[in-house]
Amino acid sequence: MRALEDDLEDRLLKLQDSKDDKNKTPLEKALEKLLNDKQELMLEQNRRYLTALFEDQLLAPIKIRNAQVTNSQSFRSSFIRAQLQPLLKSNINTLSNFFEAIDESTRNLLKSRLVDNVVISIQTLPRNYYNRHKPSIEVVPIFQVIPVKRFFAKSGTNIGNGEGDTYIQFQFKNLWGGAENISFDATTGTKTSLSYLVNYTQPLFNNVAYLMENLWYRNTRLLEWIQSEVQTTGTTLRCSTQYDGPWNHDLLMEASWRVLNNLNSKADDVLLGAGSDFKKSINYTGVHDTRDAKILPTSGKLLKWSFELNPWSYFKLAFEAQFAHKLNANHSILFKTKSGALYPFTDVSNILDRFNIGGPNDVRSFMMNGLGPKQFASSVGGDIFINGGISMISKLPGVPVDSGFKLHTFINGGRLIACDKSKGVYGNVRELLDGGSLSTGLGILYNHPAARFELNLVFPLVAHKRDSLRKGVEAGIGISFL
Amino acid sequence: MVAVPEPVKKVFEAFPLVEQMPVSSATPGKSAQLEQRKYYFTQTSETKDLNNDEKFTLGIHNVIEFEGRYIPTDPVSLSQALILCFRNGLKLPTNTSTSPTNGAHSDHAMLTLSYVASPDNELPILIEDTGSRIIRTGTMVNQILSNKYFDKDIKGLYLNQFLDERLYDMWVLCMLTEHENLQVQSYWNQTFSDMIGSDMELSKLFQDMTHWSGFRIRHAHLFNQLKTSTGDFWSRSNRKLLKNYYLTEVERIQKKLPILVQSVVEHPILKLKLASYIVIFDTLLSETRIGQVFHESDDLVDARKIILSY
Repeated sequence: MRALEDDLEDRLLKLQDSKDDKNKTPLEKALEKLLNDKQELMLEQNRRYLTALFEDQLLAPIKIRNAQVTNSQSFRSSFIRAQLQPLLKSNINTLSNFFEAIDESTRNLLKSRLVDNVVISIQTLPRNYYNRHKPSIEVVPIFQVIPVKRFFAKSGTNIGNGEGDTYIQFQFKNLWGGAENISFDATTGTKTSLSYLVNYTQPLFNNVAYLMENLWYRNTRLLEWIQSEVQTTGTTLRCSTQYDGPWNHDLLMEASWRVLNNLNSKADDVLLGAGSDFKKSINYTGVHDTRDAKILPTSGKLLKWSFELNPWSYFKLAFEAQFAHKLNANHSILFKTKSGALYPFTDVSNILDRFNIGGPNDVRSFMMNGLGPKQFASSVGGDIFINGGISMISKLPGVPVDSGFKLHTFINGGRLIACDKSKGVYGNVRELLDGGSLSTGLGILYNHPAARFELNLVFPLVAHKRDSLRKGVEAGIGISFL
Repeated sequence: MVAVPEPVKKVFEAFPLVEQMPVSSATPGKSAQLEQRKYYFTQTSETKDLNNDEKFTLGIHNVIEFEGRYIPTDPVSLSQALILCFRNGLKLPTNTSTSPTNGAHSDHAMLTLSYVASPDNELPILIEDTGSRIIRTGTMVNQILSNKYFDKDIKGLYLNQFLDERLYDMWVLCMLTEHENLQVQSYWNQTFSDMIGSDMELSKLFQDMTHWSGFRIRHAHLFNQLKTSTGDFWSRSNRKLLKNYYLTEVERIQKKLPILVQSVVEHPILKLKLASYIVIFDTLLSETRIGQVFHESDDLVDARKIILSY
């Protein structure tokens, strides 16, 4: 009987390989379904058995003799010990605690971004004469780590008609065996002045949940919306948390010399704002994130707020919230809102500190930073803004549910104004809420793990004169959308 | 080219469905900031009447007070200000004409800016508001003046070029080589008040100054081409070279000054330009070698008279 069943399965597998679904007879399809059902049933039985077994043994005592990490010669022993602390803090555990500690230690190793993968095996030690009556099981967890490359360099040259640029990148990882990384990027060319970035990161106190980042940079950014460029030379010190839970914090101190260079703007704000500015600020950002995915969530919420203080110049507040809800198997809904306020200590805020809204990743159907106050075709930015959007993400007809391609319909809106101190808080808030710009559209999005791609047909519904509109097809790429 | 079908075009033209008034960028704070940096030319009975909405603003580095008048701190901006006064029947801004509420002020003004506000990183610039706005760089204004006044005057053209290049180069050389003896911070529109920031800003300024009005192109031999374009001004060998060249040029200018003064007497534009250089060299750069040359010159009194007549 067993031989007959095996023979039948073999024949069915051969049939699966040789024929497409369309060419199969009803009998073949019925047999195939039967086989699938059988396999699912067996898997379910195994799962139930293992679950029952573990549930029965959850409180079984486990004694950890030691923990071993193979292939770890590039790490400092104090760093490895710190990552395995959940396992080592007590050598007697329940089975449940033991697995939690294994998970936590694995997460720690992966969070350091120095290992590509971790393979875990658990060896039970044989009972000897002296401990044969003890109830506990002695185990040795073994973490086999696969480290990432310690040194990486990349260089390249681009040459065009009478112009060229070249870049070079270096990365040194795990410099002193405690996840200390340094990277260096430099670019120079005929049209771009020398730009470089040195980035040093390391966990604080061997704890990968706390990351310290130091940046030194010099770069030139083109600000097309004010027909200008800004040259920045500075340093940033950032301390951030990488907790597994929803709460995370980020503290940032920045000191930079910024030179706003007018290329072709006629706006008074640009003419008067051009020149040097020394930015010395401290910024705190708090995040509460329960979303199931960062780029295209289907459930959960994100709350993000930040405070920035430049004691010589301004105080800035920003808030962001996103809510995702799955309506059914084919549809989910996303709601996002952002707002911010900049209070300058002088009469006028620096144009480089102001907010800008609009663009394919922001209020769609408006050009990049195309909303808000304008002077001679320059979007000079504003001090107070609010924007928001509702998106419906649906399964595309004829496409599998797990496909990255989705149908996207949305409605967006926002308003950005300049702060008029003479009007007071109430007057400015009333001005902010007095009629925003609104847009709608639909399109296709592709949800890639690295970024989200959108191709939408967009229409502005309500706009202000001088808003930079975008009607028709609009493409957007990014990790954060309204 | 494929034509867009009419129904599709109509659909697109229907959007936005509602159009509201533009978002205002004006605030009392911005107006105050602008007025704080403006110095209005004084109106006279000879002031030309322009249309109500037509006005010009001369963007300059900074101003100093000179015998009750505000004059720009560099010779090119001063000469442009004087030429604007000459052509439009205006006088230089005074203590009493700076307030926009004062009846004596005209609609035209000088505005202190950073040199990076100019599209070519050089001041002065002329901002013309005639309904729309036109920004003319110093090079463009010089070209317009040259075409207008020296189109058929070869001698005038040569003298004009001499002033625009040789005397201008003297001023740049003086700033680059003798700035340590001067209170240069007050000559520019500077953001930083602290010493480190001020030094950083001045270092960039002097670096960029070598590119102004083709100075670097005319004197390529003074700059070490093997070094990077950002660091060469501060190399010791280049600074020594600049200093030696400057001292040689001072002697040459000293010899040519009397002939130059005689030659420009007949031409009002050239007279204004030369007077601007003489007054700036004597007033702001009196401690320098070139300042001493102009200080000892007999023509200083005439130059001061010219400035004071505006």
